[in-house]
Parts: sequence; C-alpha cells; structure tokens
Amino acid sequence: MQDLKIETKSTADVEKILSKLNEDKDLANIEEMVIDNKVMFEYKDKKYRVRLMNLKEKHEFYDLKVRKYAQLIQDKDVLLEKDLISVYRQRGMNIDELDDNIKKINSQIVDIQIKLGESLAKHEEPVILNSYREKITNFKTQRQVYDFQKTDLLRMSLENQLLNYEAEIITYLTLDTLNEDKWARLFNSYEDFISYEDETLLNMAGIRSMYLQYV
Amino acid sequence: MDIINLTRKLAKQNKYQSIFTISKEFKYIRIFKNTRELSKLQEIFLNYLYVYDNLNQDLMMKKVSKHIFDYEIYEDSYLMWKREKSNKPDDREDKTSDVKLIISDKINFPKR
Repeated sequence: MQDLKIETKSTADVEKILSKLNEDKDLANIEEMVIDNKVMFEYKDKKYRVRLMNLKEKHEFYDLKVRKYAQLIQDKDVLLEKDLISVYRQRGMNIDELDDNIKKINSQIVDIQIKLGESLAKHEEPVILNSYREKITNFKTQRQVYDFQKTDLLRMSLENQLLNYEAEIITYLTLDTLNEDKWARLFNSYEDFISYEDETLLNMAGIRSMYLQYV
Repeated sequence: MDIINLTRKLAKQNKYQSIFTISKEFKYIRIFKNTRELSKLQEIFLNYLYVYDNLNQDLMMKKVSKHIFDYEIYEDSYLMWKREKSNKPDDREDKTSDVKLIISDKINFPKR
C-alpha cells in the first residue's frame, strides 16, 4: 500500500495563501465597482448599496457644500490652509521646509526611475534593475514620512473640514437599502443621517461611496 | 484595501486585457454596464487598461525586458523613460530629412 504523504504548510505559506485569497476577494469587489458603478454589501442581514449621485442629488450636494463653506469661512476659529501654515511658522514649525524635502525626494525618485526605465529598455541584468528598485523604494519611504507629517499638521484646515463634510453628504445621498425587492434611499434628510445611531453601517457605506465618487 | 492598486491589478488581468483589445475592434463589446457618465474609478481603470496594452505590445516586440511585469516600479519607470524619450526633440530630423513639405491649402492624402 502506498504511503500517504501529508504536506504540511509553514506559517509563512499559510499567510501567503490567506493574503492571496483576501486579494482575490478585494479584486472581486473592485470588479463589481468598476463594471457597474454600484457597490452592494450586507450588514446585519440587510442588503445595502452605494451608487453614483443622480442629477437631483448632485444639486443637493452642491447646495449643502456651498452652505457649509459659507458657514466655515465666517468662523474665526477655522483657519484656511495658508493661514494655518503661517500660524505653524510663527510657532517654529515650517511646512515649506517639508514641501521642499518632498520636492527634492520626488526629483531624486524621477531621476532613478528614468535610469531604471532605460535599463529595462536595454534588457539589463535583474541585479541592476533590483538596485534601482531598492533605491526608489527607500526614497519613497522617506517621502511618506514627510507626507504624513504634512497631512497631519493640516488636518484641521478649512479645506480638510470641507472635504470631510463632502464625504458625509455623499454617503447620506447615495446609500440605498433593499426593501421588498426595491432599492430606496436609507435617509430622507441630512438630519436623519447625522442622528443615525449605527456608525458601523455609515462607515461601511462611507468608505465604499468614496471609492466611487472621489478616489 | 488600496483601491487604486487593486484597480491596476484588475486592468492587468488577461481577461480585461483581452476584452480591451477586442473592444477596440468591435464597438459592441462593452467593458462597463453604463454607457455614459464614467466614474473617476472607471477613468482610472481605462487608463490602466491602456497602460498594460501598451506594455504588452512593447514586450511582444521585445522593446522591453521580460522582467517588466516583476514589479509595478518597473512598469512605471519604463513608461516614464519612454515618455521622457518621446518628448526629447530628435535633432536628426532637421539635419537629414529629405522629405519636402508642400505648402498648400489642400493636401491629397493617398487613399487606403
């Protein structure tokens, strides 16, 4: 009788397989979004979807956005990005310096990328390609640090507050629920949306609707 | 999940590359369910379909290393170099061109 060989997988192998399965699942989700411009999902045994805004909703979106902008611009406690930058400068934090660093790194990345591109066109050895790739990856990691610092410092600017508000309105306008085989908007007003208690559902819908409208 | 990266991976798949190639020949083959009003995500997807179509053609014609698809950095860098190269003025044109331009208000292109 032939011996049965049971192949055991290492933890690293299992992690690789799981990561591949997750990626396949994510790809299937993305495929649905790309092909149909609609994203369906289930939450607590109910079906929901987010979609693109229709013309009427686009008008409502614009009206709400304009009103919010008018409110924020009159609020002395909310600073425009440029004013926030100047306040930081007075306190010894220089955002222009961060920008300069980001620009310098970008230009170094472009230079190496062009060399790498040329090497690929000249069919050069993988070891050469790899050394360029490593240099680019290192520069990109350095850039991420500066990018993160800048984003974090400007998080409370008027522009960013308006963007967050836009994300909320889009979610409010484009979240549908399936009732007796018919899709209908979950929220009839922005007030209904902000007083809704289940934040998990709003976050699930918010992330998905952003993928469709912004990206 | 990184949405842009996944969109790129989807566009790279053989399935979508084939659909894209066929849709260029046969207009009734559609990629999206909607016929108008493309979302931003669809624009990005179309852009990547075009990018990978281009890279596949260059690979087929051996204009680029077989390692091009090993890393996305390779793909981006090659495209960047190609763009840079095509933007540079080719000085040979001025010196050795033996084609004379005909200055006229009407040009009769040869019929195909």
